Amino acid sequence: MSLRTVRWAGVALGALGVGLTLLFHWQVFFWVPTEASMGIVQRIFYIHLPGAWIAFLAFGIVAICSAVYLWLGDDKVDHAARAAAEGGLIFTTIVLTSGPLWGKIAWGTWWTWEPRLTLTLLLWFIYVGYFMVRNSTDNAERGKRFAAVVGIVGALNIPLIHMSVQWFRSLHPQPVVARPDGPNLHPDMLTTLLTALLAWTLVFFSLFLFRYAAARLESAEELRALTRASKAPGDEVPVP
Amino acid sequence: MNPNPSSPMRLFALSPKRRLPPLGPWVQGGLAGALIVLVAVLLLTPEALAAQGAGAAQARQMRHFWHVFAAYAIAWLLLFGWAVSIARRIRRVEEKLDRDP
Repeated sequence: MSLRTVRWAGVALGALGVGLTLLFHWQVFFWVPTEASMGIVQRIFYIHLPGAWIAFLAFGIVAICSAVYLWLGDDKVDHAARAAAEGGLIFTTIVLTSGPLWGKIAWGTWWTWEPRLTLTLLLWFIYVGYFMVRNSTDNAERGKRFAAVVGIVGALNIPLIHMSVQWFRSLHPQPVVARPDGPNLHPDMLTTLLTALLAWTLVFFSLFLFRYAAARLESAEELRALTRASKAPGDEVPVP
Repeated sequence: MNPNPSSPMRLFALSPKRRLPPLGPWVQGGLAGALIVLVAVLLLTPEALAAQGAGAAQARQMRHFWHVFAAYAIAWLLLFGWAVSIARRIRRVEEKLDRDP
């Protein structure tokens, strides 16, 4: 995919995403019915759940791109993995901040070390580690390979997070949408949730594409600087 | 921009007529506009929600509005921060390319 296509795809997805985001905020604050037992704090649900889904999607992209990078060694795939990892980290942070704000009202505590919360925090730390490992070595190629391994291993945590509420005794609610017998939600709530999910997915892919374009530009700029340095008489060529 | 045919930058070179506008303002401008609208919506929300009902139960529920506000504000600050960091990266590279073609 050319950089020109990436740019225009990013702009188009971003415009759609921002438009749908405004729509879902209208739905959340002016349209959807208030949940009976928890009251308005339940409206955090419309960013908490899509945030989690998009974080899982992003880390899934990281794992796939990392595996392809280890196989083919193509820098473009590594750029995509890094862009997705940044997005995944942002959305996991959203989940980890919106959850306690909701939990304080619903459970009476900001945080509890129950399986799903603990595993989600672990996921966040793993992908912080992804960036630390990447920058921990002077050899950039080695750093990318190590980070790719972390990216793959980290994604193994995602099914554990999803299944933790069924496998372990958990304070976290059971799934209300991804259930074998269908969603267990008021239709208006489901519509709002799906709008929010679509809006943030588009925003994520838009920013992901811009971040990928930035990484490719930076990489090309570094390569150009190396080429120029190697051509200048008397200059030493930096070893990558 | 008149790149050397052997330069890797030829991949990104466009004629002045076809050149795309810089990405930085696209990302920052769009999200800044959305953020302003969202903050306005969030500030108007307590009154809008209060209009949906009345009484002690409603008043108790409204106390929790600040948790909702904080959750949405943090989410948007994080996304906006990510967009700004991307826009700054792109602008830095584009300035380098313009300054030193």
